[in-house]
Amino acid sequence: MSNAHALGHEHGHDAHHDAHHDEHHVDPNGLKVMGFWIYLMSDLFIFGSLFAAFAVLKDGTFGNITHAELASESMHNAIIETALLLTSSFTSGLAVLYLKSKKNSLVNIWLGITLLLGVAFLYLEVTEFKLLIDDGHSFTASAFLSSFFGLVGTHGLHVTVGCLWLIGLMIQVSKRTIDDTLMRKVGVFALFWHFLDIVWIFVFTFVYLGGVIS
Amino acid sequence: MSKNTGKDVQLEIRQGLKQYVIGFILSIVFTVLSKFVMLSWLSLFACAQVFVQLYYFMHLADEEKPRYTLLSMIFFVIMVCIISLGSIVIMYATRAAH
Repeated sequence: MSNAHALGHEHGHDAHHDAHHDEHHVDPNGLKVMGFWIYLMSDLFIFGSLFAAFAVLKDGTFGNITHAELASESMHNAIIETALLLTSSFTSGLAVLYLKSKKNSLVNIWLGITLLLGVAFLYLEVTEFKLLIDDGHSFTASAFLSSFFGLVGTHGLHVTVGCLWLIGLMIQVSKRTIDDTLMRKVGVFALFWHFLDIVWIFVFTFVYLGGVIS
Repeated sequence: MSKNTGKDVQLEIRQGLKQYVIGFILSIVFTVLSKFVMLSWLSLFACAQVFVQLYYFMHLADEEKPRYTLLSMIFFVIMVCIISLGSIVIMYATRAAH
């Protein structure tokens, strides 16, 4: 604000007036969306630390499965998971887009597809984890596996919470009329889902592709 | 809020759809390409994907003039990079010392 005041001396009263105008007419929904962005960014710290832990511990295999072995074993699965999550990110965006049509059923169809894709993603991830644990590659077996399960599992936990959230959201969309508040609620969920997709892109790139290529 | 006529909404949806489809195709292209590149190029493709998501899906560029969200995001991303990349550098340096 101090900058705007300083400029106000040069440009007369206009700059001064604008600065005050912005301060007093804050859109509460816009503010909530910005607050959610800040939550997402602080979530980035969790994933950033887990990625750092993974990068540091990935060679600590303690005689168990190595990064390259795990990556090539799970590659096929990871590609399908990536396709599912990418598509669900797209469909959640379409749900936000079709809010403009004010047709609740249309929004719910896209949200439903997003939910199905999210659940399919979780199913594949749980299957992969179960397979690894059954083969003796549990998270207690080595530092590498601890960091692997920590990183991929935290992302999976976020997707799980997102799926539960999505169920609640679909109930709201089916019952309420589409107004600014409902638009904000769906929009904020879509932001969360896109964010999870971004994190997954890094997981896929560094955990799976990185292991196969190196 | 101004009342939109049905045609305006249709047009808006069609334009929005175009953006989402472009974003979706771009993210598929980057994912497929990243399977065929060298290790050093991987992070570049991941960053390109992040850009696609932020621009086409999360509409970060559409924010109004005092871009507080963009600014806070840049701040957070810099902090996360310092913390995670810094940890990696330090941990590898201590390992090399042994």
